[in-house]
Amino acid sequence: MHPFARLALAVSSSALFFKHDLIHLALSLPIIFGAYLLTGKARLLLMCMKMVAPVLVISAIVWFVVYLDFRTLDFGGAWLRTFDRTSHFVELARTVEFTSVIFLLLRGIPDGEILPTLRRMGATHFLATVFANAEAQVSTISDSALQSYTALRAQGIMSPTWLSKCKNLGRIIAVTWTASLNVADARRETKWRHNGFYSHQTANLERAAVSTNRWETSVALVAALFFIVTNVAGLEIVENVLGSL
Amino acid sequence: MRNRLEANGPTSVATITALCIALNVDLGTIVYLIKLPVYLNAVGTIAAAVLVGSTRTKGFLLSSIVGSISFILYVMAFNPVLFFFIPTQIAIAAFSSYVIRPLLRSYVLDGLLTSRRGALVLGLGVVLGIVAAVVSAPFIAYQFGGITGSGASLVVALLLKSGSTLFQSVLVSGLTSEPVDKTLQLILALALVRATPQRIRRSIA
Amino acid sequence: MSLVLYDGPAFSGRSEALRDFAWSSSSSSGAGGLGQYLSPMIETNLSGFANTVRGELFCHKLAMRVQAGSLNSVERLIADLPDRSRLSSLSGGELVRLIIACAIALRPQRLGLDLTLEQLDHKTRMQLIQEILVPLSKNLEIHIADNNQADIGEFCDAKKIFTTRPGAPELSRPLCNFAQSLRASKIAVSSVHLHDLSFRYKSTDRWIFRRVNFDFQPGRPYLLKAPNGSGKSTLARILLGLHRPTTGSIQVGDRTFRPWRDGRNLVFYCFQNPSYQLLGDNLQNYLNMVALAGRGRQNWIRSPLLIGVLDVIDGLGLGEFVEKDLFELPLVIKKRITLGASILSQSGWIFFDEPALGLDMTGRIALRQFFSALCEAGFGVIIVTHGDEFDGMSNSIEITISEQRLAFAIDCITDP
Repeated sequence: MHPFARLALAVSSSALFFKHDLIHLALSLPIIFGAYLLTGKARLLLMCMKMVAPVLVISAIVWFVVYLDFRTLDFGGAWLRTFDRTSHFVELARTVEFTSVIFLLLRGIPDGEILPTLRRMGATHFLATVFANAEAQVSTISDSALQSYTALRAQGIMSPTWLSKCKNLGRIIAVTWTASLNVADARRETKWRHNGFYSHQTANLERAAVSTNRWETSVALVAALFFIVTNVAGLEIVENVLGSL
Repeated sequence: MRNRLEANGPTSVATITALCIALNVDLGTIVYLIKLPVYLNAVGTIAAAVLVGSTRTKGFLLSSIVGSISFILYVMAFNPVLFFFIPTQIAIAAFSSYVIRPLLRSYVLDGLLTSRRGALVLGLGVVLGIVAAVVSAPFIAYQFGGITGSGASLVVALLLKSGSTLFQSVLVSGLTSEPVDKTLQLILALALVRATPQRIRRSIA
Repeated sequence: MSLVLYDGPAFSGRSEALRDFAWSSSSSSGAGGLGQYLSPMIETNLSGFANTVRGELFCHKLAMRVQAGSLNSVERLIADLPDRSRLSSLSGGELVRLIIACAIALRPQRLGLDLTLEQLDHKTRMQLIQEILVPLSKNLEIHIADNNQADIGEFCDAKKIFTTRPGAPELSRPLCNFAQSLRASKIAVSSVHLHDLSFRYKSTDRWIFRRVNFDFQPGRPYLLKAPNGSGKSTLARILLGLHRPTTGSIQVGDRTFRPWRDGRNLVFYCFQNPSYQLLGDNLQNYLNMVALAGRGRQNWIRSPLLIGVLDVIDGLGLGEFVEKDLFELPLVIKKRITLGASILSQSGWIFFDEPALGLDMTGRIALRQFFSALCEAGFGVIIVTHGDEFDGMSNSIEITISEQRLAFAIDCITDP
């Protein structure tokens, strides 16, 4: 997907916040599903649904309980209030829809291409470098934390008891931090600076080859257009279509 | 700036900023996955505010970047909903840079953080928690409708049921959990600052 | 262009010379332009912008596509690397191949390898030198610092000899002297018996160990030589209690030991990269921490070694490094510190992972003496190694992991 298309889709999805009702969210849902499926990101869609489904389900249940009058036990009324067009639950659903678009756009960037993609989306050198480096470091730090935990156990400093683990939590984090810091600083000095890797990476960034797929770019641009149309004038269009039928 | 960056490569500031972000994401992910009743997703933000940059304002700018990018990465990593807590991170960055940093930085770096100052650390942690709760309340209330499926949401639900308004419920729920969480995060962040090797501290000051 | 070997002991300036060679704008041979230096810390040679092999190659503008029948050096290096593999899951050999490929992709005029090839086992190292580095050296000046002279020497066009600098720390003699004093000590450590032990990771169906029955006796060094991925680290992790055996048990002496819930520490593990295990402000701080932890818990040693932190620091020649930042110390010093920690921890058994990595010839000889002294004092010693630096040690046993079992290496030799 072309970086410009990513940016366009991200900006246009903010149109979800123009309206606050279930109809517009319902109209936007097929656009989101379509964007995921047509760009071949079904696995990402499943991942996203696994993450947000518990949040939505628990929220709906809790709101139901909040709205339920325990004296009259009006279950139907409570459900209607929960899913009312302008209910608080709808606010959450709207936020979830927006961020699921952002999730597609960010997770869909192929590994190793974050820096040039962000640069071409308009980010500064510093921000793009920091973002790309941080994203790669997330798994490195997590491995390093596991390594630190192993090291403390391997030297008898921490035992398997819960109390010992709590006492040594600060040590695990400190060891992880210093080990990661030293590697990162050494990399910056050796690889990025003296070996010229960073200047190689950023040379001709405007023409740097990022993976651009015309089909994905088209899907993203069409989805962006639909977001705007749906959320600005969606309800009126549906009513006109239903009226004409 | 661009030519200097391209010619010399990123400074230590860039690498530390990236590490602080990664730390935020990793710690936050661990506690989320093992369902600990804390967040631990601002340790890197606080550490960056205290450690990085030669002035408080630079520290604030860099720690705001840490907080913002952390929560964008959360979207990628495991929880798309956290995107809207970025303003909370900026508020944490501001408090850490303009209040915590001048009060504690020199003591931490010189290894002089004694038990007397422990009370100061605890107090600052509580205030930081209050700041975080107050700033995040409107977003939780009006962006998420107040109930996000977390443990704190149950407190919100109870308060709503008892007749409080949405904003009041969210605020009270935040004020019960955030001070403890942020105090723990402040202590961890100061430990990281102390653990940072001297030569790296010099290069990012 | 040429292939040059840097021959010299530790603290002779090889690393500095390699960096000068790689990064100076013109070398002594007149080759100007960009140079690449690969540091002994493998992680620092990665880009820091990727999580997978594909991403790393992309960052270096390398394509994964390999044209059949016309493999150039770079393509041969990356040909069998799994595209979607995470960098953290690659073996040492695969990582080395990847970083060399990426370094070459930046089109340098000069390439400096600082102990990079030491991470590889003998077979992989020879393959890399013969099939990749020698052909590459026709167009690229390559300088290599390595302690395994015998392997590389015959392929090099030239050798640069380095000698110990004046004022360099003397490390081998103190270690030998310390080994002598250790021999006089006697501790009592229980044997370890693996009884019908089986293990597999929950996420896979692959058994790492199946019904292993093996006795480890203290007082003799076990040389564990096995291919990458065969289960050496897993064995250590089981003994440390980080993994629980799927079935079977661990007996220490005549008692069942469950390290995944028992506070006693049976094994002290010396990492291949000592940076992973060092903590605290300085080495004295670190050794104090380990010693305190050792004294503060029940151990398997029946008559503990009476030795203090200061004795270890003086004995191992670490006195001049006490005040220095732990992470700024050279690799050989860090490894020396972990040797000291292994004694102070009061764990009866010590597991050494590639302890000779980065050591010169005299360092390896001193280390052999140290391990022999540990065994004579009664410690249990297990050494993971790919090389032959510890072959022929007195009373040593070579073991391997074959068909999901621990076996004596001699049992695995098949008749032609």
